[in-house]
Amino acid sequence: MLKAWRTAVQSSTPPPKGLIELNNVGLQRAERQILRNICFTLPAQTITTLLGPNGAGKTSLIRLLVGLEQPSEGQILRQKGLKIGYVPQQLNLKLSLPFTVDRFLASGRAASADERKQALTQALAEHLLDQPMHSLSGGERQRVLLARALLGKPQLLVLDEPMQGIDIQGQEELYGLLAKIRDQHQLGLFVVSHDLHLVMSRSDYILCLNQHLCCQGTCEEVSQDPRFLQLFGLDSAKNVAVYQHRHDHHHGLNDCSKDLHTPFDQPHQH
Amino acid sequence: MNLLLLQLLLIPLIGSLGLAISAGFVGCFIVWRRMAYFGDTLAHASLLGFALGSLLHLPTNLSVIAVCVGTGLTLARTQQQRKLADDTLLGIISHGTLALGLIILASNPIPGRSLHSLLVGDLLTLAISDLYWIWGYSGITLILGILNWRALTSWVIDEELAQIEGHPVQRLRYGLMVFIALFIALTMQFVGVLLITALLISPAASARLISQSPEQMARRSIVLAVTACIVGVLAAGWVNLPVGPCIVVAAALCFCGCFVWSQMLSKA
Repeated sequence: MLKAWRTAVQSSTPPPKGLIELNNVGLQRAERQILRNICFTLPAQTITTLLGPNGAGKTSLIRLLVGLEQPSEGQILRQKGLKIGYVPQQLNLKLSLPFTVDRFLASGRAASADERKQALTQALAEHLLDQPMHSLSGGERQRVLLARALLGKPQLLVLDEPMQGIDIQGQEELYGLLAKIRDQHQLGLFVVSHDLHLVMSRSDYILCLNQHLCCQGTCEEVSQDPRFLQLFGLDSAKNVAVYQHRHDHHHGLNDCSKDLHTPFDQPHQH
Repeated sequence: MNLLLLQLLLIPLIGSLGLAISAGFVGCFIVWRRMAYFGDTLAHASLLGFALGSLLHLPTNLSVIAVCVGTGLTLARTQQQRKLADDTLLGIISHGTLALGLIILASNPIPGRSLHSLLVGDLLTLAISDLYWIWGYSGITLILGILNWRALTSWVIDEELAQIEGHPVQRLRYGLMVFIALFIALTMQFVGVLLITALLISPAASARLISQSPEQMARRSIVLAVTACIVGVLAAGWVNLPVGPCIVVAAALCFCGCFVWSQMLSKA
């Protein structure tokens, strides 16, 4: 009966426009408002980045998105049969449970040994296949998690602060990898980050969160939005940069609109 | 060993064999999910179940099962609150139920059953009908465990990833609790309230030291539990010692053996 009721409810609501659609979503936890009035549509085959200061509710929004928590207000519509690959910030490994990288992948969505190897190759970590999980470094674990998220052909990949603890060069490499994955697998990516520089230049679409969505748009739009500048204090940084003729800041902001043409040449929808 | 002694030991041997198979298997999950204290709490609650059963003239098997499963499910629910840590909550329920059980047993002694025999168990009291219960439980546990092995290991490895990938995490969590509660309810009389957790975790912990995968660990845990039970029962029958403690000491010796072995392997 519950099942019938559920399908009735589902069929009465229109299908989402993108992969996931959030309508006026709010989250309250222990009488504290964590998120409010979140509205956006997550498009397919696009790298969308979520930016926000500490305590803005980034991780909470991700947990809602992947279904680990339910919103206290509003609704979240998911495309029918949507498969999400999730790369958490970190993995809490239990010392009492021994397993290799391959066994870890096998505990994900059903995939043959060949598919597991392929996913690992895609994440540039094929040499780790038979290593015990407990022996991996932080960066290696991140790659293995990415490989697991790719199994079973998800339409959406959600990454929570994948850049943490990775040096600048590694971050550049990872974003390159994500762009490649977006094109090869034709999937949407949702990345949480607080690193402005890189994010600005490599994302197709940007959401700025501070409990509510302050602004959203392409890199070009967002970087000129006064609310964005206020949130991240970039206005002062920019002033300083102009005054001192420090090229790196100025450059960074202009650069992103130039760089943007490359990802935007790919077919995608908003 | 003479024939009479062997006959006397036959039923305890068959019973402990079935008990060991499920202890080795379920014990792995207790070690993986860090539920040793949870097991202890249910063991203490089982004493209350036994006392209540005899007080209310109910079949003790059923009253013990009801109290154990009830306590397990209550714990599963109350653990979702965030004000107290799990071990604090377990400490209160564990000793609260133990104390209440002791009070009832003191005011309403069970004829032919000393408190001592409940605390350390007595495998020699095993009847043929107990064998059905124990082997039935072991069979069902093993079959359900193997059928759901993928979901179970995925859940144990990482709960959130398993949930996102579509495994019924909530059902697995409650299911495991019910199976632990049933194990304790069925075996508390024979192994003893104080010793039951040791039988659950020692073989699994020993297997962890010498295993490289969850499958290997589960298989070796079962083998070690069976070994400890057979050695314990035979030793107890031979020298006329209490059976429960003998099994637990044998399991502890297995752990020591595995520890030394793993140390030697890592040095080699």
